[in-house]
Amino acid sequence: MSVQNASAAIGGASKSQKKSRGALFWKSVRKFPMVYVGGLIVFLLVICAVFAPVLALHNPITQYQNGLHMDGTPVGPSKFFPFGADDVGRDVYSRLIYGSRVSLIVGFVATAISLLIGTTLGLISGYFGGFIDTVIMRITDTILAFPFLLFALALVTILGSSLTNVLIAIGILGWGVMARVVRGQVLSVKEFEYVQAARALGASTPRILFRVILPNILGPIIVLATLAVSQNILVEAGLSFLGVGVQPPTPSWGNMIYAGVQDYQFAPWLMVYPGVALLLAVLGFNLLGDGLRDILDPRNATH
Amino acid sequence: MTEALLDVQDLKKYFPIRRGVLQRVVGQVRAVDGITFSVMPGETLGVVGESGCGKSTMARTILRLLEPTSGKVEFEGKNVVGLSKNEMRAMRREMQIVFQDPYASLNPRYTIGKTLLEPMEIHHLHTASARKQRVADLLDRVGLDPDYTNRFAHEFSGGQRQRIGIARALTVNPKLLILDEPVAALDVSVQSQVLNLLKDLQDDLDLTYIFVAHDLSVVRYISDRVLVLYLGHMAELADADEVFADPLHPYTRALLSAVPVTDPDQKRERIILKGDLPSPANPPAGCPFHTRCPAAMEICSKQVPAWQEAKPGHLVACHLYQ
Repeated sequence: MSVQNASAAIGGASKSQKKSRGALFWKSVRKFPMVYVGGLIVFLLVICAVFAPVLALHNPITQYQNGLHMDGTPVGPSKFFPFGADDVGRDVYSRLIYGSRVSLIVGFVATAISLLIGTTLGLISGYFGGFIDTVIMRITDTILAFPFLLFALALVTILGSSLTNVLIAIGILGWGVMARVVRGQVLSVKEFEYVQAARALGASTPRILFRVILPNILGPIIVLATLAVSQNILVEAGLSFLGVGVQPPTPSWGNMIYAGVQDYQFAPWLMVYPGVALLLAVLGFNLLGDGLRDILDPRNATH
Repeated sequence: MTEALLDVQDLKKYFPIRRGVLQRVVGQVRAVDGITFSVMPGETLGVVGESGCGKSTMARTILRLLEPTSGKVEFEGKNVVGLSKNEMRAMRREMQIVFQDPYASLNPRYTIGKTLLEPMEIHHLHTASARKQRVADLLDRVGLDPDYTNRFAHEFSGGQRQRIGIARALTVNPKLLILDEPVAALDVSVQSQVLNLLKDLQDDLDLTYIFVAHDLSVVRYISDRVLVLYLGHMAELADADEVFADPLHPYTRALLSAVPVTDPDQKRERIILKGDLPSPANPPAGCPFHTRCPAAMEICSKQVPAWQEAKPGHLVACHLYQ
């Protein structure tokens, strides 16, 4: 066996390896069709957010005079306003499209923040054990003991209402469950002999934590993160509904629902459309997360 | 006389037993309780004993995968126990371990190539291209196709995985290899292949082995000297041929009598030990073996037998020979 062949094989076969792993993944996806539904919804949501300027018919914060009747009530769904207009004459459809940006940013960024905190603390807690573990886990218990929405509400009130502060509040409150799950996974994975082997070979602790253990517990983390995204979207909507989240005129599904509440008797579209959008988004991420859990469950492994 | 490569002195590893809300230490499991031996360069020391006698704990404590409770482990005259993190990392190039379970000892997320490259990256050995060449050489060395570099561990059989485990240990060019039951999980036919590979490697690379096992025929085949452990204590240490020809300790005799003999006509005395292995959390007073020993005397339950030479080069801890 020549050198060239060996090194060529190193580059070449890793691709084929990925392919076969991907093939395995898709094979198991077929057993859980709801993943498709969830994935499709999430995909459409991302498209909405990314191409909002293209998909929106009007400027989301422009107040149109023809959006209001003579008596000042909003006009219902029509050709010009597919989902109707709101109480100041803005296009509900365009606001809905732009609102997906807020939801997704909060969903992804806040989840990323709590993932970063939770995974790091969970890794440290599980790997070192002992006193460090006790301290980190008691802090986690404390965080989990607070009612999430109320605590986020208080934090945003203190920090001031803005998208950034909502992100921070949700991010630094939401890592409790992640830390616990990661810790549990680390506790089982660290006993494997390949972790011992890495230590025997002189691998540093960060290397063992992030390059040996972390890749082996990625499955549950991905599932948890997906489910956390839907939860965080809901919390943002809740905060905006209560008026401490994203501030008008920036459209967010939460503040749109709030604006529709007063007029729901004669303009139900104000509440219904953002409500349905929220429902679909949460449903999409939940289906995706649940499906991924089933697929990544070794008991359902196809191989 | 040549210098010993590894010198273990009075090595102890106790695990605390914690109970209650405050997790107070209420007792200790004496997994390894005062083991002293040395290994000469190029030799193979077999370590035998039944399950739970501290073989694996001893192996891991020598490598400081577990911190020893007390004692010294000197490698080429340097005490491993007191080394700092960085010194220890350098020391790890000298001593490596091969694990028992070939399914748990390879990272399922790594390709074989990565498994073998990583140790060299950690220790900054060779250039990138030389590393790849070395991976191919090592795979070839342990009898695997160098084309396997991009496969994952789950694609291999137990014997192949164990060869990969051996190759991984060899990546850093160690002088001492601790083999922690390397063939116990393998089929008998594969066992012999791996044993022969280990023998070949030892001859070619001047390796020194500590071979931990519970299979006596395997130990006899590969070892120069044999150390018998019982409940974390040393029972007997002598040349392999000597141990098998003339076992002195009653425990060694019982172990040997349990080895199946292929000749049905051969008469042999079968020593069946009574009772269970005592708990290392609450070891018997005196000789740890006296509760099950067919030759136990009064003194055995009172006094710990000294570790002494009964015959030249044949050490034993038993009151029968004192």
